[in-house]
Amino acid sequence: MIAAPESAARYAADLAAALPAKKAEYWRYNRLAALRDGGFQPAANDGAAIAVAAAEGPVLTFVDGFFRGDLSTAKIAGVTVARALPEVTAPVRGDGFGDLNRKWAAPVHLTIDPAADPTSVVRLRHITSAGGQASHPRLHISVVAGATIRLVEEYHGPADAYFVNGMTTLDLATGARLELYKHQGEGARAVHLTQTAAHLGAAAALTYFVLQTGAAVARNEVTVTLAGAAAVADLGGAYLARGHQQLDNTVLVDHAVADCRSAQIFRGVLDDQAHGIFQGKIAVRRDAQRSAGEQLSRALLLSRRAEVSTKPELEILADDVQCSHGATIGELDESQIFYLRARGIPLAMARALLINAFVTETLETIDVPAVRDAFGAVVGDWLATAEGAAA
Amino acid sequence: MALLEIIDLHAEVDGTPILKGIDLTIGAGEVHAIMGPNGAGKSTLSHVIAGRDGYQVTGGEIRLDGEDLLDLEIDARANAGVFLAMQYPVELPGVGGMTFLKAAVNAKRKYHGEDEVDAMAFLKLVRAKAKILGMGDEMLKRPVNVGFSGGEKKRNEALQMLVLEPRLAVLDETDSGLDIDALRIVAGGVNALRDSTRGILMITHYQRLLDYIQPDFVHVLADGRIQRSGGPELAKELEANGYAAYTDAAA
Repeated sequence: MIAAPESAARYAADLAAALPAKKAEYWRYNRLAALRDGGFQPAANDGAAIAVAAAEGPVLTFVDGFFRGDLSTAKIAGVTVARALPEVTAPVRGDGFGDLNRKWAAPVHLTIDPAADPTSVVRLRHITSAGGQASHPRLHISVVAGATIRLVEEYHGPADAYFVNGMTTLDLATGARLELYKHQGEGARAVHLTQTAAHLGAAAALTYFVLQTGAAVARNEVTVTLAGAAAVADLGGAYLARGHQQLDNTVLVDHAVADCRSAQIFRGVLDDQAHGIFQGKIAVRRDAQRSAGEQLSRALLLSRRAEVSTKPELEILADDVQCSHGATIGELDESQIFYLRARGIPLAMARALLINAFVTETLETIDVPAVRDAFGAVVGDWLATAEGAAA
Repeated sequence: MALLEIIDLHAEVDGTPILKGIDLTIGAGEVHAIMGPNGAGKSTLSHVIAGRDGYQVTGGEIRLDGEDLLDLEIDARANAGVFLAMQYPVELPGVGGMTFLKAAVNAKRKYHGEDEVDAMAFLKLVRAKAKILGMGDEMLKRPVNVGFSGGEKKRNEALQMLVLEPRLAVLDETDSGLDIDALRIVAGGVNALRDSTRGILMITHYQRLLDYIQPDFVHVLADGRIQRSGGPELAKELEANGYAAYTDAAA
């Protein structure tokens, strides 16, 4: 449900103030006209009844950005839910959308302690209940020393236009481990802008994978500071876009101290007139010797009118580092298509097999079979929609 | 009716005539070898039969069991019974071997109006065929041809052939890049397919392959035409004397 009129006017002003300046370097590719003209109004926390699928396993549900205890698992071992944020050490980028989220969010703080089951998966389910709304999920997750958890973060909503402006901050203490798998599966006319910022202590390990298939315009931004020795961040993602979709992955990893490792491995498939964006940066500070950083972006263009913008950046101030980056943009390989067809496989299926293979190679980095299969099914569904049908 | 009939086939690549009137008939149960010097048009012939883009047929006919192959798409030709074992098998990263085989078999069954194959029965069938070629489960699970040696790739071609059971198998320089042990294994696979209902067309530069797969007929292809046909003894003669007589005659 939409909030009262006076807050609607205030929100319109805040949203207008949040929009980046025309020449803002990190927003130059993003198509944000829908935010200027969409007339989105802030969602109200009315606790209304909403139909959700019965969940298998532990789930925490957020409707229109608000935590809903009534739609969540009452007690999850090792997971504490609170309504107030602690001091946040994560490297939140100061920008208009961050400010907008701070003003309108109802923050939730999850604390993960060593009692959490390291083998189970907790779902964080984000649902937008109706079109026209703007919601501002705000989640802070503290993984305390020695704790391990696996989370799946999902975003869904209706077919009408709406706006999700989310922020997730992660604080991994010494030796903490977090696997976070996100599926951005918003409705076809949604605008989805989220920032995930992580602060990693010594020997902490973050595995992050984002699969983007939804929204008209989406930007998934991930910022990681490796702040303790031997911290590791493995960041990956896949995005599938068709029609006029624009999907962005913006990643920054800051090697603040010595002896850390990071990777950014992203793959995109772009059909019709879709536009993919990858902006990835590895920063290595002067004292962060023996840093290892890897970045790889690959895009597969299925149509002459599809487009990809890639902006890799390395900013290395230490002298003893191993950093690499690469970006490729290609089409389906004719000799591979011939090989499949020469074995009797029709053209459309041959293309689907090769596209699926391209994406599946990234999914194989997901260690949890249930998540890997679920994400694989999302990719399969996307491919099953005839190419170009969603234009 | 002959299994394969090629009648006065002409084809060109980028406007250059390569095949200049090929006539060839293969009966059921027959194994034919086409030998010839480099540039004779051997690989062009195999790709034209398979229907690869970039080869323009400018005249003639290719008939499989009386059906005009030139009217069919690449995949329809395969499903009608043509199998091209490639000289350079392509790597398919991310496509599992079993997934690939199952997709191919189900495509063929669908083409012939049959139901999809039963998964367990299929696994059993593939394992049995793989055993003939000394291939274990580990090789079947890997992405198709990725990281395979030259010999492993050719064994994988032979496995696909045994699983798909084509009417006509065309082996394009199958012996290239194979050591003698791998050659023996692959030849064993081809011989396992050989029966009175199928045809095999081997395309090769060297006589060596024919020591392991005995042909019924040997043809010399040079300058886009079959210059001479004979029995297995023709291959021995070529081994002794080379192709000079044919290239000179063609020039």
